[in-house]
Amino acid sequence: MTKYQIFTVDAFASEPFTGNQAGIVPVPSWQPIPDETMHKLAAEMNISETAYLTPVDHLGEQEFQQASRFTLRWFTPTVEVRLCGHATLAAAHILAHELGNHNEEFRFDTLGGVLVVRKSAEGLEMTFPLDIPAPVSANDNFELLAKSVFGYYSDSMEMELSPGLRYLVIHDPHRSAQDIAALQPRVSEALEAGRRERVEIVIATGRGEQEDFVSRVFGPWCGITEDPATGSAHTVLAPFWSKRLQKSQFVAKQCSKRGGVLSLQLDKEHVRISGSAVVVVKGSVEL
Amino acid sequence: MKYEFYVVDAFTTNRFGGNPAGVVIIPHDATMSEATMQSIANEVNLPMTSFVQAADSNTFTLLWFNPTAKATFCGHATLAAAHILLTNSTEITLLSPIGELEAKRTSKGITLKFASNPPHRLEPSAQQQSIANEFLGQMPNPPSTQFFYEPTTNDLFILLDSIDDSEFARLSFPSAPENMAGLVGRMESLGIRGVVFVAQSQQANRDSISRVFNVRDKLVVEDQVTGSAHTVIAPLFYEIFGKSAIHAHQCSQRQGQLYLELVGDQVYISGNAVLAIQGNISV
Repeated sequence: MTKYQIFTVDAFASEPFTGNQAGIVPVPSWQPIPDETMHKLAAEMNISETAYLTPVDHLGEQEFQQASRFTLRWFTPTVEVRLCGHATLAAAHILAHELGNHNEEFRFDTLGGVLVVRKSAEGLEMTFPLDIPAPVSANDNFELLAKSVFGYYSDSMEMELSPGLRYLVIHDPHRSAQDIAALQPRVSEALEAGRRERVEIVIATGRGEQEDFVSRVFGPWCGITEDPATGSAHTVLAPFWSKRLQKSQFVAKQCSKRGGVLSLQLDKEHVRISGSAVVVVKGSVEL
Repeated sequence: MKYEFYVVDAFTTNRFGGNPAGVVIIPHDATMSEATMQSIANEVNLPMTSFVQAADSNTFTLLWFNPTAKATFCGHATLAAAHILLTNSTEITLLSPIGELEAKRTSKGITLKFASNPPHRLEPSAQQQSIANEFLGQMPNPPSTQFFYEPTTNDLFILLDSIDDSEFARLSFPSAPENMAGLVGRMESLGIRGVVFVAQSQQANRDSISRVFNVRDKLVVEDQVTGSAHTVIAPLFYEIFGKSAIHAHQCSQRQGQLYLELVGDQVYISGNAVLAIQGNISV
């Protein structure tokens, strides 16, 4: 049995119990964990993602303090996923604030490509490729999905699907930020419709009041009833709102029960997502 | 403020088996509001989290919270709490929402003493029958059923007359994903906490087999190992089969083993527990 450190971090949060939880397990390069065990520990943690972090450069005793490049793998309680923004932010937060790594920039090798996180004024800043959504023409499947989230379907709804992640964005211009926060979706009633369109996540979004826009994120297809704060959703939402608001800099609020706040800066191909994080649980697990 | 925090797998000898529970230790001179307890239980998102505080050297108060609500009764989180607290003493008393519970280390792991909760026999309504059919309709020759209800647990118990252990473990509930919304609706309209399918085991080393399902977040989810349901299964098996000592197996994905002994109006539930994670939680 080998002992590993384990943390629970609230990402896109400035106080405990808000934002999105991520489990972070620093895995020393000389003590790899088998995939099966990574799955089991993520199931035990039972939070949206548990991430495993291993240094790639500067190996040795001080590798977590010195390395600036790491492999990072994300597991939900049921599957390994290709992209997870909040757990990346959480991993960088652990490196900077718990493991004494003073580098200004971290590079993470992931299933979804290389992700870069920099220290910034708002905390930590991640750069993601955009996944620009395109309008879909309404059909029975999309109407069912809209109904499962909003309780109704209307011609005024704007629905766009992102080609890479296959995130479906639904916006009804007649609905306020409070309406989005008050939604009581039953997305599990539209599971089959979502499968037929290969939708991974459904996002309800609306104009914000203090913020530029608000959103709620639902992913029953990957085992997530509602995700409280979602980095990846904003690689789709940033270009969606950029077209409508003619802006490239946003403050976005995910108005889930826990809530999450993200700062976004858009260029042609990328979005930089900044946020802060709070460590809630510090502990160890023997594997 | 920092509190000791543990994740314990209950009713198993396998790490990551059984049913996980969080355990938070509140120092005797500290106070924690129930709102904070609920926030912690939501944060760690385990099926249940126990909050314990020493009242005197061998007596502790115990409260249970699931991610969304305070719970009235939870067996596996009690075992998890006892596993942490019994490192210093061999016998403790837990002052819980269902009264005083005794816990001690025995040859079967940890033994907890609960009040027995005998169920009442029911003539099933159409809705209760359709819940049974959703589960058993997947079999070519479904077994016949007897229905019971028990008010303390607020669970519907469906006793199957004969079923193969591995076939029982393979059945899904609902039988197909598209039946989920309908099943949630039927379970919600009955106002029950959960449905317990239970049968005699056909294996030599087990007496009872069970599967337990609850509604959470508009989804039917399987409870991995359920201590509370076994305060009902023990008197039920005594009444129907005349057995007072039962090796109970819960055939969920993570599986659980419980040893039940009915003595008068008490049920002794014994099982093992494994520490998975230890650390502290900052609030």
